[in-house]
Amino acid sequence: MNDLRTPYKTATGLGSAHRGTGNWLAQRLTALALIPLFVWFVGALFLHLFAGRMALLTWLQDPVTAFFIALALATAFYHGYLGVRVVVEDYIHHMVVKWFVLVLLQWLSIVLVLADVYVLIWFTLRAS
Amino acid sequence: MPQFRLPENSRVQLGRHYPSPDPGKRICKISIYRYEPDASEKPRLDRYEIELDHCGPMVLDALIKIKNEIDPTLAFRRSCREGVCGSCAMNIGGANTLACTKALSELGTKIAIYPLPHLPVVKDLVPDLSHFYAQYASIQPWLKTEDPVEGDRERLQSPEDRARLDGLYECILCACCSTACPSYWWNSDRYLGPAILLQAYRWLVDSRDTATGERLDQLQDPFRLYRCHTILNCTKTCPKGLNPAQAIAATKRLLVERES
Repeated sequence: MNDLRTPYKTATGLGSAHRGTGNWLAQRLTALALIPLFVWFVGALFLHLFAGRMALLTWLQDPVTAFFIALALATAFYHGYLGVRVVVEDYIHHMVVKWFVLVLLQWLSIVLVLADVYVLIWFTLRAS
Repeated sequence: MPQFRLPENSRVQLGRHYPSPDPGKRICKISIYRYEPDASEKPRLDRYEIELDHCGPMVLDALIKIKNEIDPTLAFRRSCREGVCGSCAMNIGGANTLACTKALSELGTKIAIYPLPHLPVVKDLVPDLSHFYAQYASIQPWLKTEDPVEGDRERLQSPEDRARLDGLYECILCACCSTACPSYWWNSDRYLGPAILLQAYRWLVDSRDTATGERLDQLQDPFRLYRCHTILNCTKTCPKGLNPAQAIAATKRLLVERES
């Protein structure tokens, strides 16, 4: 050790952050939730595509459909955020760069969820 | 700046060749990583040829034969020669294992031997395990309890509770699993790694230990525990046939149980 610190000092570091379980659990729960949501979305989309353009538009403008699409996309963005966050924490070791990327990622995820909800509300209201 | 090439002193050169004096015999060609950080030379791969008819059956026997008969400068750790002490852990034929329990016959006639990956090298096949041992000390691997001892006797445990330690107490801390884990390679400064987490779980499930909450508090950290991404290299490489990944998953389950 060049800096005269003992290995034990290095190993204990700043101590435990006492968190991590929430993110780990959220990653798994969102993954599980995305299975039925995307099966429903892709299945219903194909069914309405084959039924013709009008049937597809009517289905998309239904508030219940819009709600579930918004839910699927929000879940997907949150799941994606948690996944990319892990990759960033794994590979970026420069503290300032890491936090910059993490904050950027968080904002991007929030903006994408808001944009998704806004577009769906706009699309549904436009129909009525 | 990202670094795309290995550092200068990590690029392995082709080293010396020690041919067998009798090439007609059953020969095994063993390439061994040689490096001395204090010397100015780069690491090199020395090639030794040994006669299998005059060598014991295990890789450790071959290493001892090389050191005794061909090249006394070769450095490696060994002690028990029966898979109990964990000293001779090294990367043999691309996988971390114990030289004393790995048979030469399983590896063919060309074998490459390197030290355990991603650890500082003290010399040749001897890695620096100081940080690994410090991480082990950090989980306080001893029985912690407030319960008084009844008389001058041992603390009792039911056969079922004792059975929960099977598959955990056998760990010899050879570091094969931790140094096979990519997550440990990138973040070993903060991630405890599979060996230490298996040891931590060994104390979490000990029916006599009452510091379970305190131990879980210490593990609940995005790096200490949650850098495990279930890659399973640890389980695949363990020379004792243990399953550190399962112990880590069980620890995560305990933490979820505590939250809900």
